[in-house]
Parts: sequence; structure tokens; C-alpha cells
Amino acid sequence: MSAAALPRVTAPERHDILSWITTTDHKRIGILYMGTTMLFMLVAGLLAMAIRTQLARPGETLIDAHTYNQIFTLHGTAMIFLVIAPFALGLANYLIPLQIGAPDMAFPRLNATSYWMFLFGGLIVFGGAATNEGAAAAGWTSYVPLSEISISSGLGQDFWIVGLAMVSVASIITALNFVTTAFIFRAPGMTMWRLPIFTWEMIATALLIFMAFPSLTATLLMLFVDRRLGGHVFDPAYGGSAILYQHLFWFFGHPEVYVLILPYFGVISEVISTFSGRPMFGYTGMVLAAFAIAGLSMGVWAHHMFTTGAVNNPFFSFVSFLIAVPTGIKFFNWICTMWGGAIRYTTPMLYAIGFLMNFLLGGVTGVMVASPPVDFQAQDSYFVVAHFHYTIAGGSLFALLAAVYYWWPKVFGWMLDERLGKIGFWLTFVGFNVTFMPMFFMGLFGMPRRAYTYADAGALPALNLTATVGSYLMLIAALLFVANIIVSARRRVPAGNDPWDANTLEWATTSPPPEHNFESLPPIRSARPLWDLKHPRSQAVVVKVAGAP
Amino acid sequence: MTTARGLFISSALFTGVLAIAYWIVAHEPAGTMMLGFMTAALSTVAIYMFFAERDADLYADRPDATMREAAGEHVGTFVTYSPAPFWIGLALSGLVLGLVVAPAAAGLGIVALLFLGGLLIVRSR
Amino acid sequence: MYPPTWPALGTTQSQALADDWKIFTYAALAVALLVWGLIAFAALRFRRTARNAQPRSQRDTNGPLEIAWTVAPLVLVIVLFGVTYHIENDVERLAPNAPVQIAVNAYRWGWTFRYLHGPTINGNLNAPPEMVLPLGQTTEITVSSSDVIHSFWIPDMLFKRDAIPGRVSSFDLTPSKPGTFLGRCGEFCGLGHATMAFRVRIVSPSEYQHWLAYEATQ
Ligand SMILES: [Cu+2]
Repeated sequence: MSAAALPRVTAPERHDILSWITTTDHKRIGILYMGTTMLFMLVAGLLAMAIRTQLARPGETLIDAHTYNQIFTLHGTAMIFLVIAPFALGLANYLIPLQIGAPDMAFPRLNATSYWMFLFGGLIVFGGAATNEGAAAAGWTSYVPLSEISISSGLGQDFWIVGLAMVSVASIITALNFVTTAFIFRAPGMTMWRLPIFTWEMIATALLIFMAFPSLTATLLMLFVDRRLGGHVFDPAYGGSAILYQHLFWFFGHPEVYVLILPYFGVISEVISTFSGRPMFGYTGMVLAAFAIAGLSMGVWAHHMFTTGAVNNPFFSFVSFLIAVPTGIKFFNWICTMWGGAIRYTTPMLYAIGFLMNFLLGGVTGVMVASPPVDFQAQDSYFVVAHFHYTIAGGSLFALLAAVYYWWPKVFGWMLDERLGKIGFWLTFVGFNVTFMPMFFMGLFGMPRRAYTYADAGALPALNLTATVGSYLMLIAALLFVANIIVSARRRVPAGNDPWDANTLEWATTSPPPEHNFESLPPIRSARPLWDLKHPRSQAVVVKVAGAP
Repeated sequence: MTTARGLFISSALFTGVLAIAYWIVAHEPAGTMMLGFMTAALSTVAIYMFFAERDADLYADRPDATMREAAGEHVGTFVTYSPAPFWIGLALSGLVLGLVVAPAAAGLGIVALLFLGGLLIVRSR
Repeated sequence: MYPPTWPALGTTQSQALADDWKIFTYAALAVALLVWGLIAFAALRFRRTARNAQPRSQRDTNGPLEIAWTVAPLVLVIVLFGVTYHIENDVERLAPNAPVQIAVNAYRWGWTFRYLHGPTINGNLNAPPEMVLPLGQTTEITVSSSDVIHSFWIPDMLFKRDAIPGRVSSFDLTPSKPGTFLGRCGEFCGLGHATMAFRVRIVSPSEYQHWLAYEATQ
């Protein structure tokens, strides 16, 4: 096939509500995706505030055990399935065609279908709260037999299952779309080894989704059969196995945590490269590291099961340790990208550096809990709560905010306020660390996660109160963010095509881009076509190295 | 497309090796099965790409391709609006909720969906 | 009774576990401090100023450096794996014919401790059961569950093992410090999870014999 001319967009642009419901434009779907995840994040964030308020002091009776169990289940489920992962899918929806110089995604209608399935799936999960016995309350992992109908008889658990099944299928469809688009729809000269790092990370993410999410869909189906159709897949009384559920769930669940982080590695790479005024250092190593992480993450699922005594701990421990190597490569490459640059401290860059600082602690504590003797204490304690919040909140969420501040001008055509943004960053950064640093100690001291109260003994009350204070700092930062959007929307400082002096193609078109994305494309001779355009003298050098992988 | 193809081939090889190593070390059927399935799935894509894309010649894969030489050929148009995706999403929600709650509710839902879907199709013409 | 502060390390196994904690904490902190330092240095040193107005280099690759930071972490994690492998083997080794053997059954929301050739202790949310163990004598504990998954966790001994319905799983504890330690459920099991506790009281072997004799009369 000669992909010479790509299909063209012909219909005129519309702006009524119906046009948003029926749109198949990747940019609008991206905005819908990201906007929806922001709303879900608001709910999930308020649930987190409820958790921290309840735990501010020992023996608090504000929230009872059953409500608390629903709250943390919804908080975890929403943050993982409905916020962090789909925001990345939305961002990639918006960016991949722009970054590779394509007019749209490969399958626009499938793309829209995946968004609506995600939205309704998410609403169904939350909708479980309106049922008689409330929302699902078995944790985001919903281990059997706890989630079986004999123990959790409420409809909320079923809503959780079918809602997530829809989200899961939607993710697989989107992943398929990403890979096809990135393989086939690249502009002339945009070879695979000139793809922006963000697009590369999304290809790795899509590969992970292909491999992991079918396992989730199948597991949810089996759980549904057990609950509603009288099956005994996971029932030990009939020869089923509770451990089998954990194998199946984590076979999805561990790759999922890399689905939550790889896209944000891409975001950070773009932001650091742009604001340092340098190319991505170690481009090839960066790409290979992403795929090394994706591959290795398929072999570590049972490190969530060290304390079951039912798995081969050394195997999973070793493969988990190995993941530290490609992650380390990424860190050193980010540092070397800054090295020798002229770093501009904008809000996205601050969030990117905050990401590096926080995620590093999440990473090294990840190596700690990958050692079974450490995990015997840390498993299901606040130590792992601290660890994964350092990766998902201190990492992914910081990068998510970097992405919002970085690409906002492109999406809406006007700038967010930098001063409010920076104040917000410092509040978030301090609040985050004050919230989650004490949790390492709580866990080591023996506080179990998913407990609605704790004993008034030793250091626990002081540590918990500190964490709660930190969480309120983050709440203020969240309000500031909303204020920033309102203030900036009034001011409407025009962004222009390329407000950040960036490298990649999405900044070569107008802000916001026209419906068919590009009026014209600059020649693509490296991974930084826009930078080449702005620095014509360096062109010769760039062309020479461009042939290499 | 060499890189894209290589991606799937090397992924399939990696999970294949992982499956064998896991079986040798752990002798655990569930994980070995799943790694085996994964290898099979990746191999399917890899084999498809090997045969289907062997002759593919994309301008995108030529480091020195220009916009000008690629221009001109008209291969189709993108759909910009379609009522189907929203309708499919709603219908699926009705279906899964019907499975959970009550067939009667699902019936009512389907009537409402049909009405809404019809409306959408008429309006978007 | 159980100040939740630094774990008391009440068993010989927990001392090995604590060694692992220390090695990994120091290794993690060393790596983190090094990389934090590099990030901070790069971030501050190369900020844009009047004197550093333009990026001074567009170099984007350095082969030897990239190989070095691939190989060095690889060596580090292989060494750490060696450490972890040995300590885990030590901790999980089961002594043949342990002098005390207890079958632990977890249920929503309480515990039953069934001593081999001895008493059965039962307890629930309102009255947490107490497990009495003789100092210095290896105890083999076998955990299981009669409903959902629980976890037998004694934070002061740095150890937990999941109690899974349809499965039994054994481990050894060798008490090395007299005293009373709090145990709790470590795996989320529903409404009573937060308060599903028990106690472990470690006494001298003679006291333990007294206790056995007393329980036999009950
Ligand atoms: Cu329990």
C-alpha cells in the first residue's frame, strides 16, 4: 500500500452539543476523555479527603466501616481505571495524530465508541453507590471469596464488574487504534525512529493493554458467572481456587501499573526536553527501556502474592528487581537531557521535576517491597500504600498535571496563569510529601491498609494527623487549579502556535488545530522537526545522524 | 515497517522464553498457560505482519521522503460525525445493566435507546 | 502493651527479616540520594540565566555512559537478589518436628488457635484470643481460613502469612524475647477487618508448661 495521501477530512466543522455526541474527531474525543477523567478525579479526590478526615484521629466515628469500605474501593477503582489510565488514553488520542503528522486516528468511529463505553462503564461503577447495599466494598482488587455473592450480596459489586468490563474492552479498542495509527499513518519522513518519545511510550502502553486487559475482562466474566449464574470457578468447596483469581487478576494488575506510568514517562520526556532546550538524551535507550519495562512487567505478577505462600517468590522477586534497570536508564537519560541545557522553570517543568523527585522514592521503595522478606511486613500495610502513591500520585498524577499545563495552550488556544500554577505546584508538592511520607512509617509500625480506624497507641495518631494535614494542602492546591482555569479563561492570553519553543509536530499547527490538523507540514528529518525548522543551520548535522536507528 | 514487525516478533519471543523459564522454575500451570496464550496472541500478530506488510512501502518509512512526493493520491475520507458510537455505548450499558438488575428494566431501557438512537440518526443526517 | 513504633523483633526469624529491611533501606536510600543529588544539581546548575541563556550542547547520546548506567544497576540488583534469596530461605525454613505446633484458623472476624496435643483457644472481635508460646522453642504455625482470605500478621515479628480458604500454609516462629505482642488480620476481609486482632504472649518454657496444665483443667 502506498500511504502517500492519507484520507481527508471533508465535512464542515460544527459546534452544537449533538456534534460533540456524534463526533469522531480524535481531538474532540481526546478532550471528552480528559474532561471526563477530570470529573471522575474530582469525585475520587473527594473520596480520598473523606478517608483522610476519618483517619485524622483514632477511633473517629464520622464514617462507619461499611461506608469506609465503599469509599476506598471506589477511590482506588476510580483513580486507577477511570482517571490515571484513561487520561493518558485521552491525551494520546489528542496527541498521537498531531505528533506523527496525521489528520486523524486510523479508526475514528471505533475511537468514539471506546470513549462512550468508557464513560458509561465509569458511570455504572459509580452508579453502584445508588443501589440498596451501596457500592462495591471489596477493594479495587475484589479478591474472592470476599467478592463472591455469598459474602458480598450487594448489587454494587455487580455494577463494579460490568462497568469495569466495559472500561476494559474500551481500553483494548483504543490500544488497537493507537498502534495501527502509529504504524500506518505517519507523515512522509516520520520514520519509526523519529517518533516523539510520547508516541513511543504509548505504543509500549498499547502493547501492554493488548497483553493484560484480556485477562481482566476474562476474570471479571468468571467472577460474574460465579455471582449471577451459579458458577464455582473460584469456590474452594467445589474444587475452585481463590489463588487462581489472584493469578488472573495480577496477570492483568501488574502490567496495569505500567499502563499507569509509561504514558507519563512520555509526558515527562517531552516536557524536560522542551524546557531544557535539548534533544531527548539517549533516544534509542529510552525507547528500548520502555519495551524492556513492558516485557518484564509481564513476568512479575505474583510479587503481589508473596505472603500467600503459594507462589515461587524468588522468580518473581528477581524479575521485579530487573525492572529497576530500564527504569534507571530512563532516570539517567532525563538527567542528561537537563544537563547542559538552559532550563526554563515553567509550571509544567516544575511538575516534571516534582515527578522525578517523587517517583524516585516510589521506585526505590518498589525494589524494597520486591524483596519478599521486606514484603512480609509491608504487604497490605501502609508501607505499600505509601509506595504506590509515590508512583501513581507523586509520579503519574504530577506528570498528568505537567501535561495539563503543557498542552492546555495547544488544546484551547490560551495560556493558563503561570503564577497560580507555580503556587499550586508548591502546595501540591509539599502537601503530597506531608501526606504520604508518614505512611511508610505507619506501615512499618504495623498499620494495615483498608482499616477504617486504628488504635490510639504509639506514633500512629501523630503520623495519621500529619498525613491528613498534608491532604488538605493538596485540596487547597486542587481548588487553586480550578481557580486558575476560571481566571485564565477570562483573561484568554493567546497562546500562538508554539508558546513553549517546543520540538514536536503538534506545535507546528495552530492552537487549537483545525479539524484536519495541519495546513502544511515542515520537513521531517529528525525526532525534532520543529526545532530543525527553527534552527536551519543545524540541519546538516541532523540529517547525517537521522539514518541511524 | 521493519521496526513495527520486529516489535511484535521480539515481544512474542520474549514472552515465549518467559513462559518456558517460568514453567521450569515454578511448575505452576496458571501463569504458564497465560504466558503461553500471550505468546500465541503476539505470534499471530507477528505472523500477520510478516506476510501482510512485507511489501508495504510507506513514505513514512523513507527517511528522505518529502511532503510533495507523497501528495496527490486520494485514498479516501475520514468520517467526522457518526451517531453509532454513542448509541453502541448506551446500548451496551443497557445490556450489562439488564444482566445485573432485571430483564424488565432492560426492556424499558432498550425502548428508550431505540428512540434515542433513531433520533440521533435522523438529526445527524 | 503494643506501642506501634519500631518493631520489637520478637523472634529469631524477625532478626533475619530486619537485616533484610536494613540492607534494602540503606541501598534504596543510597541510590535515591545519589539520583536526587544529580537531579537537583542538573536542575539548579543548568537553569536559564543571563549567563546561561542558550543550551550549551545539543549532544544527545554517549555510548559508554549509557552502557555504564545499564550495567551498574544490573550488578546491584543481582547482588540484592542474592541477599534476599538467602534471607528468605533462612526465614522460611521449616524445622522438622517442631516442639510446638499450632493450627490457626481465621474466620470473619476472629481466630482459633488449635495446639497439637493441647488446648484450643478461641476469640472474636470483643475478646481477642491469646497465643502463648515458649521462649526459644520453635513453633510451627499452620494457617488456614474458613471463609474469606485473612492474613496472620504480627507486626513486631515483621511477618505475615495469608490464611486462604481451601489451603494450608506453614511457617516457623522461634520466640526470642518475652513479652506480649499484638497480632492482627493483614488482608482485607470486610467489616471487622480493622479490629480483627489477637495477642501473642511469649513466656519462659516453665511458665508455658504451667499454662498448658492450667488450660487442660479448663
Ligand atoms: Cu481478616
